[in-house]
Amino acid sequence: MPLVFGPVDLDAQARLREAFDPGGLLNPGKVLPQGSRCGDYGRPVPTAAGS
Amino acid sequence: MLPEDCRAESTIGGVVAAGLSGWRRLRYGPTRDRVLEVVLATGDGRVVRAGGRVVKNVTGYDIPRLVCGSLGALGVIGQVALKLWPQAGAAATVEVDDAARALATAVRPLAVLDVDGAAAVYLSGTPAEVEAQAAALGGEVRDGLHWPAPLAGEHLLVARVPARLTPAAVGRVPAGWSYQAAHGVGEVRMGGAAAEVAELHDLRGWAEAAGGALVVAEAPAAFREVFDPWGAPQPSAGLQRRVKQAFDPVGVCNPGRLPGGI
Repeated sequence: MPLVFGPVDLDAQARLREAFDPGGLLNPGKVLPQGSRCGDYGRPVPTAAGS
Repeated sequence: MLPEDCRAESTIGGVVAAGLSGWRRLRYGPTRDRVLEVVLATGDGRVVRAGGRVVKNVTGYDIPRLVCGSLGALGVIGQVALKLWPQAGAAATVEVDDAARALATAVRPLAVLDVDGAAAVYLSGTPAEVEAQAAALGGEVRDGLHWPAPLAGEHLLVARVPARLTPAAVGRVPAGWSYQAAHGVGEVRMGGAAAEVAELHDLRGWAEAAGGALVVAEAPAAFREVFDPWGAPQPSAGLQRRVKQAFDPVGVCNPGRLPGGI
């Protein structure tokens, strides 16, 4: 997957996956390689304005 | 050829974000089946590329499909790769008496429409194909595709039902209203001046019980206060909110535009 998509694109896919599977229970590690999430890089994820 | 219905002021991004699919949906399918790749600018400023340039592409999750019909709520569409079809050699509009029978008889028509009782089959293909089909259908043949003019009326609603229920939906259009029904697709557009809210609630109840919906396309603000534009909340609303959050965590992309105020 990292050969086809850059880190930003993989992160977007990981976030979409998280919307369906917040607990990471469904086949973790499948389709998306570990380390795709922003959190894995230690980068902060922006939240809604004011919170 | 891209089988969408556009006006002079339409944009590609708008057509994809609206995902309305056009009159030729019976033959060419919905918008989401022809968006291969999308480059999206998300609410928090990421530029995301998803999908692939070719039709035979299965890498990753189908974000392009998600973006179709998202009404701009997932981000700004910067670029798309669209599947196109070759232009046809000939086209014709054939008036018929019975839309349901014509739907069964015609081979891959563009559309079978019923506009206020006048049914017509829209054909395109090689000149020989079109001529043979028009002859098989009977009825008056006009060269070219004469699509219905946009509905007039203060209130414009669209009913979506399973395709086989299109005739039933036509029967339930409020009295005195104009309609345009797409047989084989299950979409009935209707427009009128005076709206009887109770009658529309009945129609909505029937459509939703069948697994469809009745949605308000245009209406005065006062009407939208007594008749919810979208209808019953969807069971997947929670999931939809999380998907929205994944693309627009700061909530700047058309907030509240989607059903359920997402």
